[in-house]
Amino acid sequence: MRIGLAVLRNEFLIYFKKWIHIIVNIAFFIFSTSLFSLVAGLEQELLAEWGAGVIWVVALLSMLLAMPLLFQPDREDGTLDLMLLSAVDPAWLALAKAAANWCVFGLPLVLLSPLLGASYGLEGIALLVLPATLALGTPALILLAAVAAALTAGLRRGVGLLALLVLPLALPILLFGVRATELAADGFPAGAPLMMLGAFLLAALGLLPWAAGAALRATAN
Amino acid sequence: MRLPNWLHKFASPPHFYRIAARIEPWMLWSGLAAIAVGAFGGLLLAPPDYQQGDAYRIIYFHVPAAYLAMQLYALMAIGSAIGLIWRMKLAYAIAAAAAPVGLAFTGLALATGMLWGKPMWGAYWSWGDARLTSVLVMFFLYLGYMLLHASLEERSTADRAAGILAVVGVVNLPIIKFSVEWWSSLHQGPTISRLAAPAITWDMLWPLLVMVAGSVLFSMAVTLTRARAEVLLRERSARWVRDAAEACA
Repeated sequence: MRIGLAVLRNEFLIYFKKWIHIIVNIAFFIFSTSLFSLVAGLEQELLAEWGAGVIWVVALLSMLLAMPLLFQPDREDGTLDLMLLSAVDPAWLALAKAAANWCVFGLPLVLLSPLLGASYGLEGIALLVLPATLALGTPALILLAAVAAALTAGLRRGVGLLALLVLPLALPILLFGVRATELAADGFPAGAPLMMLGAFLLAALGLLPWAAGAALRATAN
Repeated sequence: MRLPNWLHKFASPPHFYRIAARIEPWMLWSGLAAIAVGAFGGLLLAPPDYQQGDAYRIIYFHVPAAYLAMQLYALMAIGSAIGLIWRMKLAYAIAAAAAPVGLAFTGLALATGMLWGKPMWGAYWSWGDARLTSVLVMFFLYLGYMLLHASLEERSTADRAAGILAVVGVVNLPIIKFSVEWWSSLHQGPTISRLAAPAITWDMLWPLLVMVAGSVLFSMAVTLTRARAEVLLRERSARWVRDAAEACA
């Protein structure tokens, strides 16, 4: 646990030294979401209908974009191997690294989503439900992606394969996230899909760090 | 927990290779014969359905394919889990051998399902349908397993990494199985259940059961052939393989 916190602190320091990645990630998110509305030239109602789906898909993609940063640098310079040789449980290691990654790459998307939602014409309660779905869904996505990142950490240019491994399993999270926002936008209670997302997150927190740790061990040199 | 000794003996590569070579032709030919009988019974002898007419007959290919798609995933995941837990190399070889067979049957299940869906539902595909989507997810899990296995160069690393993916993907199996009960779906509910009397007349049922049994035997034979090839590849520097090769030459 204490070592997990130390890893977390270390990760934050490294990420803030590479602040440019954070900016790139946020810019990619904002620009790609606006691309949809630009090229489609959709009418306002259509935009509101598509908003949740577009924002969710782009959030998923921009998080995948940052995923190679999770283990790849540490694998290449040997830090990861040293960490695995120490007495630290690799599950804690994976959890701490995933948590830092989410704070840096996931949290900004959650905070920005009401703005983008409003630009897509979402109104009222939907503007609260959209960030809530992202706040519940993106940590689960990061944990899922951490397993795939650990499995592909040894590969150069493994990000395509990483995406292929994550996307099928990420499907339910995406579906329930979009569903909740759509329900809220249409004036229905969105509690049920939100609770499903919460259940996914709890299951992911319980199981996936362990799988990611095993994957780190399995692909260690 | 330890594996029983007889299993370890069976799992020694030369022993497995010999046993598999002996039972494989029996499985293959009895499986093909059962498929022929089942196809004849299903396509010609069984009566047409009162609602779906003759179009329902694709069930004789769709159901075995879908059944095997899931069974082979389970085999792949169990093999991977045994490999990860007990470090049994043969289990990894069987998992790797089962993956392409499972992918093929998943593709067949998807294709026959789409052909059946067009006349019955009016559409080849529906994205809102949980059964269709979860089977597509399984298709991509098979694909991901094979691609990950192929892109990691060292075989033992590839076995372990792809094995973890297979085990994580097991969450999808109950979703596929129960998707038609949990969500309202275009896909019809289960026809055959272990606990209840089947919702199908015997004249239609027996060709289906023969077809399923034949497909299981056939897929096991194909998987065993592939597993033997995997074992040969993995053990190519071992003495027994060289001896066997010399005996052949």
